[in-house]
Amino acid sequence: MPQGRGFSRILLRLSRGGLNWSARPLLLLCALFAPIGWSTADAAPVATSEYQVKAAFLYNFMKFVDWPSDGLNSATTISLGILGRDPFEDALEEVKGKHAKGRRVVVLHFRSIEEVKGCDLLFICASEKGRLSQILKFTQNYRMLTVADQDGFCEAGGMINLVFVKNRVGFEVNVAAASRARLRISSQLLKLARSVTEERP
Amino acid sequence: MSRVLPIQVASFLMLSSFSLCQAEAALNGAETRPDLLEMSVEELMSVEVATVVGASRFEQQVTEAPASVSIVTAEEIQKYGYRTLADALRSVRGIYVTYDRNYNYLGVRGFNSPGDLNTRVLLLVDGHRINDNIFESAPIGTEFPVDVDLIERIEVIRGPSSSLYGTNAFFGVVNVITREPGHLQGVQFSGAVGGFQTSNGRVSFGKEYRNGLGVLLSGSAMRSEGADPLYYPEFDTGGGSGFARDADGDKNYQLLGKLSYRDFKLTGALASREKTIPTGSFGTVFGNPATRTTDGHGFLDLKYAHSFAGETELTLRAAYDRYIYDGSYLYDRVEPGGASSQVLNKDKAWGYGWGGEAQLTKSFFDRHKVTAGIEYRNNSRQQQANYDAEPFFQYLDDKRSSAIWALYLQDEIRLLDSLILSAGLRYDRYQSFGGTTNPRLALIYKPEEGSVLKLLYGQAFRAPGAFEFYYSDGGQTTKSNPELEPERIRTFEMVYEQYFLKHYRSSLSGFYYRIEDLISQRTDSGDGLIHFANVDAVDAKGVELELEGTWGSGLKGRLSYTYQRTEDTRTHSTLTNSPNHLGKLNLVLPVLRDRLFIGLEQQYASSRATLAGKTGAAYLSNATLSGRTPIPGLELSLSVYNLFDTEYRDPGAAEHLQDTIQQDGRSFRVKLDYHF
Repeated sequence: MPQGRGFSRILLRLSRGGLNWSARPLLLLCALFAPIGWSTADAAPVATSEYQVKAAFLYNFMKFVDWPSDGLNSATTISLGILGRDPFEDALEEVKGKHAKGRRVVVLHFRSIEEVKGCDLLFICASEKGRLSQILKFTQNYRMLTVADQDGFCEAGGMINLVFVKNRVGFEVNVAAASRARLRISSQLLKLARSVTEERP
Repeated sequence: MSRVLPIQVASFLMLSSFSLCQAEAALNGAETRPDLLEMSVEELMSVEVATVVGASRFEQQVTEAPASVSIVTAEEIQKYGYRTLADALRSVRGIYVTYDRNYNYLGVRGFNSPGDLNTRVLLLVDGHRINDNIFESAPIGTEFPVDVDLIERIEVIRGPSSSLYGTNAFFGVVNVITREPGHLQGVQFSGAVGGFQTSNGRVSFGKEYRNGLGVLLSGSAMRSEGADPLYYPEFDTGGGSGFARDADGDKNYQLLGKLSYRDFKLTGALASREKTIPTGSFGTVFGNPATRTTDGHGFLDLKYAHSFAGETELTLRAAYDRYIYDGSYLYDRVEPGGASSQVLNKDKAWGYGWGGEAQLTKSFFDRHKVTAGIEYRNNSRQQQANYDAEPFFQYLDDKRSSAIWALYLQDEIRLLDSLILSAGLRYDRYQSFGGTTNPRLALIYKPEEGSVLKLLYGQAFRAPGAFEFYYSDGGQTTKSNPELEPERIRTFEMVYEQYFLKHYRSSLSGFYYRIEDLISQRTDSGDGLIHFANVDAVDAKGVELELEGTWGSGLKGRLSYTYQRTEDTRTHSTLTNSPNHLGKLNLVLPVLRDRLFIGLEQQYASSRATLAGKTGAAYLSNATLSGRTPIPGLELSLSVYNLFDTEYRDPGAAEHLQDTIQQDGRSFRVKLDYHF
């Protein structure tokens, strides 16, 4: 930063004001700006929250994962279970009533793993982290796609882990865990996954 | 013609075009969310969620941050053709930048007094402190150590954050997040030529390997001849004088390296900038390029960040910093016999230091998120020297070292699902003046989806720097003042944000800042020596409005207006360089979908008081055309800065004979980026 020994030898001056200048350029630019806007208007949100995006991922997983023919619990509905403290706020409201696999999506909430039944996709909330191994042991007995958003989920035997990196949501897949439950994750999804675990360590 | 009129007209036109968009959106019948559910997985992976790291020292949504936050993204840096950090910051609501043809000074909340050295804003690069330990300055111009092309995003966090960061986080924090190795995945070449015979280039390599190792290496250099000539009537003594020729040169280099593996990340930066001073400041010989300054910044930062089970995160950091300032000032000297000669005065500083910190963030009972940290900084070398080169005469050689330690704690409490209380407190211990404790309280209320109300209270301090404490010239004209106390600020702020019609965000905020013990230069009435003292007190208040819109086609816009008033409570006068009105307009228009864009900017600042008078209003427009070329990996951008070649001036400081300093007229830049 500039100082110089001269910084103290400063003479304050008492003169001169600023300069005014024309406003025409601004008006010109306004004229340029004014006609825009209505030509393009489509989807891209200003304020999308992390869990709105994650909710949309869950919906896509229901579409792009194949359950075995006897796998889904109901012929008319496909159910999304939320285990633990729901971080989605209102984001799941819009998923309700949508269709996937020719079935209507229903959302169920569970406080503990013992309550879980009749559920095709189970989202395990961060609040359940301490009970993860117990939960995954339980879900092994069902054709249930397990999804979470916590570090080490796939390594612990979970199927799809949502990760939040650089302000965007991505996902990791444990193919081995899914195939053990006879769930087939489409190659389209596998191509986009940040990492794919073939076998449980 | 009234000078306020154009911005009113602009606002009106802009608002009317926005309202047309609204009407159109309403007709479409899509009132609430964009259809994320209709998006493919690939599209979803590209949806950006606005988050901020710098506000709470952990990543959180902007709407839940305990501060008013603005973000400038890499995409905006490219589409608006920003050349420096200062360019990017001047587009942000409520911020204005002053340039004296050597350094850029950041104005926040109406504070940018000539002579201040950017000490009241904390500048971070990936969380690493950049303000040096001599002048405490934040370098935001060509002396900023990182090439702007390597910036991923810039977080501007308004209001005091001393409760997390300690000194300098007084009016705000600017946290620059740089690109990670995985963002590059290959080699990038970038080159640009522009007005004032400016050219710059960059080569970068970045790759994240499958085994998790990440490497980034980048080098940049810039050279500019500067405006030539520059005319200053203050130095016009007739006969064609008053022109500074070849005296506005600017050159720099910036090196950045990153190495990451699992939880470890090592970052190193080294940069230096040399600027010739054309203004004849500090009474130097006018227009002689021998008067110049060199600022060198370098740091090494090793970070370990690990997430444990149970939502616990541990961060450890060790860092080393080096700042070197080398100023050359050419003076005319009249010998007793009447003969005159020139003498080169050297003004130098070395600010070295190292430090470490540990931080733990843990969630409890679903409702608490607690962050606790400890920090230590050792300013191992704080040296200032001033001497005449030939004949040698030493005026100052002051060597110091000092240490600071601090503890901080923050708790984010979810009182209700819609109500968050964020409470933070930090204690800093200085060897010079002792301890200081600074709290921050924020109440964040989300009554419904898309509405956020924030009530914020904060306290902060700025510790006097080595320069303010110890700079003197051996009792000739200046003296040191080791009795200085920290400056203090208390702030109240209210922010209301509303998201609506799926494309829009609006925000309304009001602030009241009260500053005490402000450090200013004074003359001792006893010995006539100039020194720094805790003398001034200032009140600032204002309101800000912003409207932002984003559409999928790449169309986006932002319009903001700030009304602010500052008052020196002793003299009841408005501060110098403190505009009452600020207006900003930013617009990206897609010309060819996903291929070609026009970025337009307009900035307005009303008249500002100067030391001797006032400036006119300042009005600036920039335009950039950028896009992908048919050649894969090759991108081109064309920029025009000061599109309408308007004349505008920034206030000079006491070291300038110029009361106002004319800024650059229209200039161009052509930039090519190639990556493979």
